[in-house]
Amino acid sequence: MKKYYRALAVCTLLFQVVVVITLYKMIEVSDTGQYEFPFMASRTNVLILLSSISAFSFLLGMISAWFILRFHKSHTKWLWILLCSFPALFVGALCLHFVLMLNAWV
Amino acid sequence: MSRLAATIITTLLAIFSYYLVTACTDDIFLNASPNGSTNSDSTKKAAIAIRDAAPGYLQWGTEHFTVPYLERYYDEWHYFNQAPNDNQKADFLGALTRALKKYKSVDLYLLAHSNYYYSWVKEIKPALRKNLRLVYNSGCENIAQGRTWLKLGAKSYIGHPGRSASPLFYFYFLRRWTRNATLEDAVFSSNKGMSKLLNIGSIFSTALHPDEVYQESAAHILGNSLLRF
Repeated sequence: MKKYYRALAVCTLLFQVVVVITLYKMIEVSDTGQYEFPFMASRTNVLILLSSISAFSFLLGMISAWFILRFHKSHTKWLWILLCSFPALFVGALCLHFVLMLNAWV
Repeated sequence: MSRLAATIITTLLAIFSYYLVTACTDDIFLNASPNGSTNSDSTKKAAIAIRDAAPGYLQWGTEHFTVPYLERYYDEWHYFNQAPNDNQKADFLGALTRALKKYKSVDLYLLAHSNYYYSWVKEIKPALRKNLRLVYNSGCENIAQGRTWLKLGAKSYIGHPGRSASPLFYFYFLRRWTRNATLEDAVFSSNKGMSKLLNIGSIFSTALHPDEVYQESAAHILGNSLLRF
């Protein structure tokens, strides 16, 4: 696992890119006014989706940050964290904030 | 680095990321206002919100943001999404008339680009229109309609003076207003929040002039500014 933490960090970053693009595509509405993904019309479904993305992003971001901190020897570890782990943590936090809003808590 | 140190720093990074999200956009606060359903009969209230035929993702965002707050804080609410071939006039007026008959306080959220919904509401009997409480209008330059809305019966009206960035204002306003701030405080704090977001936005886009946009967007209140939720 020690050898592969950089790959994990890059995968974490790629996952976030995929999440952002997918979410954007999922809320598109067709010319007829119908959701391209009717799944997104339900608040419960949106809540489940955002909670899952939040949890998974936090998990990926934290695991990759932990491995980088633990095994990366040079000072570039912070650059790795900033570029790969932090976007995941940020997306996780953003989704968590949306989840709280969808429940009128914030 | 030791396992313990790595674990502590990782946890702090996760906490910091949430702090960053809220610090950039908002204050960290959780729901603290009494639930609407606990109101006595005299303070029961209803809300009607309407969204114009904007692109789907905008309608999606507005609805998913607005409805939870209406649901939590109002005794009855109706939310309408207009479509290019269906302006929802009949349903909107029907719901508004029924709400005005049943409740002493009815708030209207006009979540639309420059609009003329007052011409619809004029069709409702004046005696009923007296139960209109707050009208929030997100339309560009629709501050000019303020006096018309007050004449129609609204106690307070909030609008924007120019080509506004009203969604940024509304993002703060709805939550502060439903938390029982006075309109004056809610609008002041929401204008401030909007200004903060515009300044952050200008870091990423040189085309955005935050002061100019703020001047056009800052919301104004007409009527009773000391109204509370």
